[in-house]
Amino acid sequence: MTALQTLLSEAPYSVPAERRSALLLQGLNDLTAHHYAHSRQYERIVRGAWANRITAECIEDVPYLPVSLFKTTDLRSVRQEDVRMTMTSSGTTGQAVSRIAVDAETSTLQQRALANSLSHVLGGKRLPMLVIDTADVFKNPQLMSARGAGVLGMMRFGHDHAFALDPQLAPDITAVRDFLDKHGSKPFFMFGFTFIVWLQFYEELKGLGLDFSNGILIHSGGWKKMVERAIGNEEFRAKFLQEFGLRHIHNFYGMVEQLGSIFLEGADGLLYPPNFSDVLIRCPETWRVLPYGEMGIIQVVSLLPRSYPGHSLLTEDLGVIEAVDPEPRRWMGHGVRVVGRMKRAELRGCSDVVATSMAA
Amino acid sequence: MIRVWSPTPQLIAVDAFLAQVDAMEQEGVAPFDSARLELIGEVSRRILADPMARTQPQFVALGYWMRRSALSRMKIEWLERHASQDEVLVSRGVALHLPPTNVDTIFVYSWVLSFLAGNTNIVRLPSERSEAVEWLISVIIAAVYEAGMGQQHLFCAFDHTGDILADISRRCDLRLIWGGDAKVDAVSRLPLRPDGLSIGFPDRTSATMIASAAYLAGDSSSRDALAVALFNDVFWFDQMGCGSPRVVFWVDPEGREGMADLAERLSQVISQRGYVGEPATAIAKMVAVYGMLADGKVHRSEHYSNALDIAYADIQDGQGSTKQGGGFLTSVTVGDVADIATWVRRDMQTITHYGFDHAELLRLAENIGSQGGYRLVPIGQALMFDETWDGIPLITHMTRRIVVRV
Repeated sequence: MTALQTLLSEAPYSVPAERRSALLLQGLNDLTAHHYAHSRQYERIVRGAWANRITAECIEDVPYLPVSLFKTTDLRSVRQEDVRMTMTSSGTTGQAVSRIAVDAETSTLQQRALANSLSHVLGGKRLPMLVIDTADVFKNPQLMSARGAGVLGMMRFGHDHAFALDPQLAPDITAVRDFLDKHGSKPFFMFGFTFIVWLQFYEELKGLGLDFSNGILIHSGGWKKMVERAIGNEEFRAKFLQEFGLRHIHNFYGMVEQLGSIFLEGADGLLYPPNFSDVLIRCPETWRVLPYGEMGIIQVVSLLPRSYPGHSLLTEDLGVIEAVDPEPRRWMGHGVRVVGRMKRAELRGCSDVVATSMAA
Repeated sequence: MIRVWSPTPQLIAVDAFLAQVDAMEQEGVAPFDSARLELIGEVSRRILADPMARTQPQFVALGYWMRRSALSRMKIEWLERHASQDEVLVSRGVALHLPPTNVDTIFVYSWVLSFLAGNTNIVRLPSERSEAVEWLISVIIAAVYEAGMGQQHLFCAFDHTGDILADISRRCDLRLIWGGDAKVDAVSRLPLRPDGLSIGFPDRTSATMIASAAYLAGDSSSRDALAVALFNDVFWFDQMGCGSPRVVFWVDPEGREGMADLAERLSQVISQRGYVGEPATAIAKMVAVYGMLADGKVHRSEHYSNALDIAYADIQDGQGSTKQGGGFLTSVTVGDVADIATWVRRDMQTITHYGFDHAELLRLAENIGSQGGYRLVPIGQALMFDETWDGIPLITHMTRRIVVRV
């Protein structure tokens, strides 16, 4: 069995940190060798910046790429004709987006892995699903970026889908009430992006006496808008419990560059990488791995990416590992708190960036 | 509304401002007027005497550049070159200065030269002004007002939006646009007076070249001194100045180079000076380096600290993306100075040098002439402002000549 098969055969989120590291190291080294052999670009990077380190002695030593490299450079380890889809990250207009080449094999791995992770909180069989978004999110090609793909990806894990919002993102109260009448008395699945769940769902539906106590809410992304409104995870959870009776809430941390790997929120509010992934925290000065409890830049490793060299990535997010193997069989491995995005770089210079509006 | 320093910032209506510009039309004086030389000398004295300047090395450089003695020398040299029996040198008229947002002394250099050329001036001050820059502005404007010249030199700030820039441009004889390709392009669409002259300073990149034999023959202290000079060139404006070098050419017929040795010494200067690379900049550099590695533009990279990354390239690989600043140098070894020419494009501004004689420098200048390149100066002088900038003798362009034939 490969390392990935072994890790996927275990109960989700159950492999303790130390044993996980050993299994991951083998799998990550295999992936480094695989990408080295199949991507000329990756080979040049490992040769030029990593002293040709194909086999690392420990996870910390596995070469990593900065996640933004996928915005500037075409990196893939499969032939162009084998690319089944190119995933792009969300980004505001004008910003460069990551472009991730996914082939059939990697796509299958991502789906299997995601199913494995979600079964941990949703149970073994598919549940009725209330999507906290509009059905237009994947009909409208302009929305069919990360958000549409995210919704579509999650919809595989539910049935009898209903959409809680209309195309203007106003709540569709009839649809929500119909869904609750039909499915509200047994467990059901709810999914949406964090700021939409808060702004368009919670803020709009509070006070109506709706009962979501059998719901399991999974949400992710868009914390920036929440931080602007000073809504923390604690408050988010408290309000949903108080208002809707909803206690099964799981935030997750994930990125298009490591699709299929979601760090799910455990009972302690920390985010846990699935068995086949891990998180390292690096010092932003020396780039050495920091001891538990110290805040630094998040590095993520995953055994899923085979069609593109994304198995070891340095993110631009700040985080801290606050728990290790806290709850046997439920939440094992590194529990990380994601603190936010690092400060943007601003260098002085002769060249003004303001020019476009000037001549108008 | 336009904010005008008179001498403290006041908001005045656009119409009133334009009327003031109209009144400046015939207020010019002869080039190198002695009252004006005195005034600049006085500003220099005040800058250099103030403790504030000591915290800002670029202000010290500015203060020295505009010393009374330096200006007298500039006057003599310029007149020697340009004065003639058959021509009377006169000012051009009303000049508009549009300095860059981020390099905080350019507005002074631009204004001083035009002031000495005898023009009346409108200076649009940078939109982002640090406390130090506010101080610099106040020193200059105080001196201008004390000399009774406040009505002919308008230091102001206004938005990019609206027609203000167009309305001002239409009244000007001379316009200097600092701030890169996009800004030069955008502003150049606005006409000046029909006989006006617009000078743009677009995006530039710069390099340095070192004769390996001279470097390797030098002792430790001479190498350290070179590292200090290179530090100033690279890090003064976070390596984002037009003259900040991004490439280091090692020139040696036998292919020797000393990059690793120089990088170690440079690292020491970086920590001695307390220059810290931001983590976000370090990651941006990593993205740039890895992208260049992936594209085969460089073949190896060394990370020294968040403030210094060195990549190694071969001359035939061609230029990779070299826009990333914050301490990122690409080292290229060539056999002869003439080989550098293959790397030079139109946007190459300054090549600083170490260990070459005059003849070799002239040979390089001739070799790159058809492509680009505007200055070959010693390492340590990359950011030193010169009256000839981007190949343009500024005072000459800021004046005009009346031909007199008998």
